[in-house]
Amino acid sequence: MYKWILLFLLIPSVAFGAVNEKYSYKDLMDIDLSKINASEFNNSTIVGSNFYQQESPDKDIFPNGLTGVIFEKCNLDNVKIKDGMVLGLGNSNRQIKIQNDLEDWKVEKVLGSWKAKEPLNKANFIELGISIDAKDIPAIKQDKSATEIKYEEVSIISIDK
Amino acid sequence: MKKFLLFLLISSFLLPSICFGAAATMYVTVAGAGTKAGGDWDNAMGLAEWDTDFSGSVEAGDIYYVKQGTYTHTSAMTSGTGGSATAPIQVIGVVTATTETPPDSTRWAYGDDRPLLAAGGNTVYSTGSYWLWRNFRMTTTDTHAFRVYTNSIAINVYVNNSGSSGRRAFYIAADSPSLILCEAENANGRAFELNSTRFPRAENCYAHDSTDGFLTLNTGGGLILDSISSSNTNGINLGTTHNTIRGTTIYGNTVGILGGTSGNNTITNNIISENATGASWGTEQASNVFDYNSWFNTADVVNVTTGSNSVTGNPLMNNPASGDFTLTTGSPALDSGMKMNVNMGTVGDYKKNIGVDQDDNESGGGGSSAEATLILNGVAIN
Repeated sequence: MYKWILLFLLIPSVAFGAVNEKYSYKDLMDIDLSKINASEFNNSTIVGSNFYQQESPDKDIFPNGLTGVIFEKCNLDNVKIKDGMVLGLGNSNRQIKIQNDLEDWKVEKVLGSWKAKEPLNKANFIELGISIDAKDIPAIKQDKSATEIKYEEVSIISIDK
Repeated sequence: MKKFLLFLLISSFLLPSICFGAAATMYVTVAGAGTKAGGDWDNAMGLAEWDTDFSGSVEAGDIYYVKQGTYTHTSAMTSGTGGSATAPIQVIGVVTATTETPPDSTRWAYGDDRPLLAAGGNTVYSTGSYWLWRNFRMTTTDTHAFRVYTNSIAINVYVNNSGSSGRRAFYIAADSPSLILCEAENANGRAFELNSTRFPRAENCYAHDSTDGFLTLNTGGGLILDSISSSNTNGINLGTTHNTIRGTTIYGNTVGILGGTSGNNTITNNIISENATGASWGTEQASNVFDYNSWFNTADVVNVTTGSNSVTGNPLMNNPASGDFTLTTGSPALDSGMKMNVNMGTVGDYKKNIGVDQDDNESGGGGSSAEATLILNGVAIN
């Protein structure tokens, strides 16, 4: 019964939060917004914006003091989700880090450090026949990325034909 | 029995359309509209519906008209489907005010009106053949970013890859891909990587503020024509042989053309100006042809013979440091390029400037909002 009441209270705020025109449908990749006054975000819905932070998992880019900020269809990869931020529909919030194969991998925190889980572009790896097992990531940093090496091999094969 | 015959009759009409769906013209906006089926602007696909169709249902002859706006991708959007020579798959960016179905070229988007594919760590591409992309912008950090494959063309596309070292903004591969009127920058990597088994082509393209402006790899025979490469570490980096670089302005790079041991290249009618080194080879390659180029660098050449029709001295561009590479009155590059040869059977004096600017009366002042008609393989493509 309480769940239904809670749902009843939450749905209007998710579905009908005023769209934040200033921060919706914007490309804000690698931009730190932490110095912006929280009031610019509070009690609004941000739709379809890109907040991706490359090479820095769980990066804290929003100001403290947020309340009722709903995100829909946003790229929040590598963004730290903190109090006051509500993830609605269609967002991504993956943690991503470049590994020794010079490729982007999804990572998860294990005992305080970021461990590779699977390649970000898993389908491309499979198509090229590259292992998607994190155990196969080279122990030392490579000069060329795994996909670049494979693309070169594919080109050579096609030339041989 | 009558019911069965009726079933057969209805099936005979329906089955072909189900099994062999006809090429479709589809409309896309950021948020979508109506049913989001894509049949017209009132029922335009949103990004999610476009992604589903692009990745799973696109077929030869399909056209997507994509309206101005920011398309934020939360995953890669890819397709392996190809078009054909007579039924390419087209993806065309148009301005917000577009209401026509289909729109004509007056609605094509230029500059900041072009739809922005805000890809983040993702990217958008097809590995299929016969795709035609026009009028887009993309920001990304993906390793290979905007990819163009066999017999496919991108026109009026801008890509900025801000990813880590060695990545690409444009990656053109497989057989005979083309980039026309495209712009790229990649602070830690390659603006245009021509990585193709045969004849990758970059024409009227602008590479800047990158590690490599243009990089040729694999077996190529790359064509870099009537383009600009400025403010890169290497303006053009030749990792392959048999390339043609013609009518291009190569300005303000650490090395204008880096050749290594690359041979059999034809490098004519280019302005190579105000680079620390104009053209540098590890060892001189007698098979290279350098001629009719304008040289004005701290050091013009290392292990390169410039040719008997070279031009020296300041080419007198209007304001190249601010992106204006047009020639001023009195430039030694005016009418000094290699002309069409009378032995071809032509009559008259076909004057040709060196470098990308072919208008003797141009006074500079920025880009146009529209394109001239371009002909590729005998067909008008804009």
